Amino acid sequence: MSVPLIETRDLKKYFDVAGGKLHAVDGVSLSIERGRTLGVVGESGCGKSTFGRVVLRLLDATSGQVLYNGEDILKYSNDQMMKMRQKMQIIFQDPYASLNPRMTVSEIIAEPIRVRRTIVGNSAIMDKVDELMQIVGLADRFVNTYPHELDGGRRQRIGIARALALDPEFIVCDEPVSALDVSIQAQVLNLLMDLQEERGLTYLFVTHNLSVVKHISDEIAVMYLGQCVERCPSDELFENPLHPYTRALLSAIPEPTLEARNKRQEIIRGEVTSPIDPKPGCRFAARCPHAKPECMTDSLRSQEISPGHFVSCLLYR
Amino acid sequence: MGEHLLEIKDLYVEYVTDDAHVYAVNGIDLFLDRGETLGLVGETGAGKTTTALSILKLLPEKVGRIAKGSILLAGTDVTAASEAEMRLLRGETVSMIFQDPMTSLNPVLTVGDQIAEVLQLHKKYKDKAGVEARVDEILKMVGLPPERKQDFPHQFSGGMKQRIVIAIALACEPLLLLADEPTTALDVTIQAQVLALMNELKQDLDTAMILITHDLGVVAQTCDRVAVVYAGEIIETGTVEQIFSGDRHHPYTVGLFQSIPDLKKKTRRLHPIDGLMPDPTDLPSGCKFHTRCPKCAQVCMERRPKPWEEDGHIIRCHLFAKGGPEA
Repeated sequence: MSVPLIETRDLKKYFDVAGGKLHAVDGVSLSIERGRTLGVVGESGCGKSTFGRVVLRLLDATSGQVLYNGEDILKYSNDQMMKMRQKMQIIFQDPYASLNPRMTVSEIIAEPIRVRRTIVGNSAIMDKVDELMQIVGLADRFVNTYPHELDGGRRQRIGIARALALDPEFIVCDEPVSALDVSIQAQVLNLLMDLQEERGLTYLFVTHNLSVVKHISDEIAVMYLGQCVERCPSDELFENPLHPYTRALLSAIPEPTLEARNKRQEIIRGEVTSPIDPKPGCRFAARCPHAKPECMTDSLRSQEISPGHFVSCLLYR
Repeated sequence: MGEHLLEIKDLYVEYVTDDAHVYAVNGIDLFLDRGETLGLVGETGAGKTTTALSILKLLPEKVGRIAKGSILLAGTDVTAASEAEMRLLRGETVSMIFQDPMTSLNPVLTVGDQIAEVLQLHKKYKDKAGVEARVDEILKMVGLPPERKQDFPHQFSGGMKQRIVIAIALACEPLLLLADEPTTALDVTIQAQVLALMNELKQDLDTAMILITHDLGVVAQTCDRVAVVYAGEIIETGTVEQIFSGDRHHPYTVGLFQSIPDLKKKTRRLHPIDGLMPDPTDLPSGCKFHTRCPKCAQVCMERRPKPWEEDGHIIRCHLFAKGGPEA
């Protein structure tokens, strides 16, 4: 067995808040093979973005391990981590807020190179910037423009070019297309998939949009209140969802077809419960149509139902 | 023949500032009957929200103006109505659900007071007890416990806030409801709850609705008719069946559908529409879509296409004008 590029083991991130401890990420164990894409889906507040940030050590984990090529990067010193960061980059959700408004497009893209000094000399750096702009499909004429002069799709391309500037191996894409219109969203998704093919990139793709995640991912993890409730290959999740939450999530997507119009929806009642000091047992139990008394008390363990298909639910014990 | 509840004819709306002249709506025709739901679909900046605001006459003062056209709402010509007349219409005949439930509620009033406000303004009930009873009734209708009317907006979650906004909009049982992206800010499971609620209420009250959205999935699930808007024009309109099936479509509609990843089929690449929305201060000549259209011909750059019609299915494209584009 080859070592996965990224692996998390029982990763936890708790935040101290007024009411107690907020369990943002609570024991997530996932892995991604080199050159593959893992999609992480869930509703707002389920901890998916926090998970992406803890994996990159942009936030310090409370406990657990993040293995990069088999080495625990949570134990790395600042110097070691600095070198490591070159290989791992992030594309942020909001292309309006994640670019410095006082820097030009070329300055933004060149910044990681200047910080890490991977290329020395202005003309060599500018050559690299030109190359990167070409790769992500930004015309030369935008070199000296500022982000506010560009539309959302082009801004997100700047974010992608910046993430590629240090030739990383691994990129966390945190809702990279959520702020974009559908026609622009499709352009950016195509770009991300082309880049993966050409450069063998590994993605952790965080989103709440299930049709986007199906399109881009090899494997999908569904998160609910800080925990991964189901994980399996992308197609399998849509053909054979097992966890009641996954089923509810899938049936809640309005499909753009007429056949789906009269289909009865499995609408789940209620809303996400508080992630502050959660009760023991299954966190979905309060909204689950199949909940039994033991769901409120028994602790859950992820089980492999069929090869590669993991689910945490008492229905499958 | 009865009249339509809402009839918009050849509507042009502009925003004029010192340094720009924005052509937001450029000749929209549409109608709506009682109990019907019309989906207004398009991308950011297509003019969907501007159209809704014109119906309410709530365009930004001094900047936005209706340049041409008429809007007939339940027999009243909105474009000619005075502010006093509009105040009577708003809330009672037509009301609006805004996109963001987080910012459309007043943070310093209890939700009960906010629902009561519209009832008091329209003098629906003689005494306080009557108003209170109606507030309780409406809260129950949208699935919230009446005891919570003493609470402030920040004490509710996003989905619950949107229910309150819906409650306010429906308090006077309006004939027409304008819903501007009512579920875009919500999670899918909450979106499903809110859409189901809106459908139910619409049937009970026989309210007509214009649903503004960019989500074709939401349209397929809730609308009777659809109008696709591009650069301030309706480029295609028809029943949901006509828009979601059949093989005659405007190239822009085709592009929109191909941009959404399909949940059923495995496709390696998406087929997005090339390019970007045209700048509304500097719109292209002829067909406004010609700069991005894969089937663009000479005539498309020169003349605005005339509508092609078949059983109420209208497409504005030269491809359909009498056997294809004319030379």
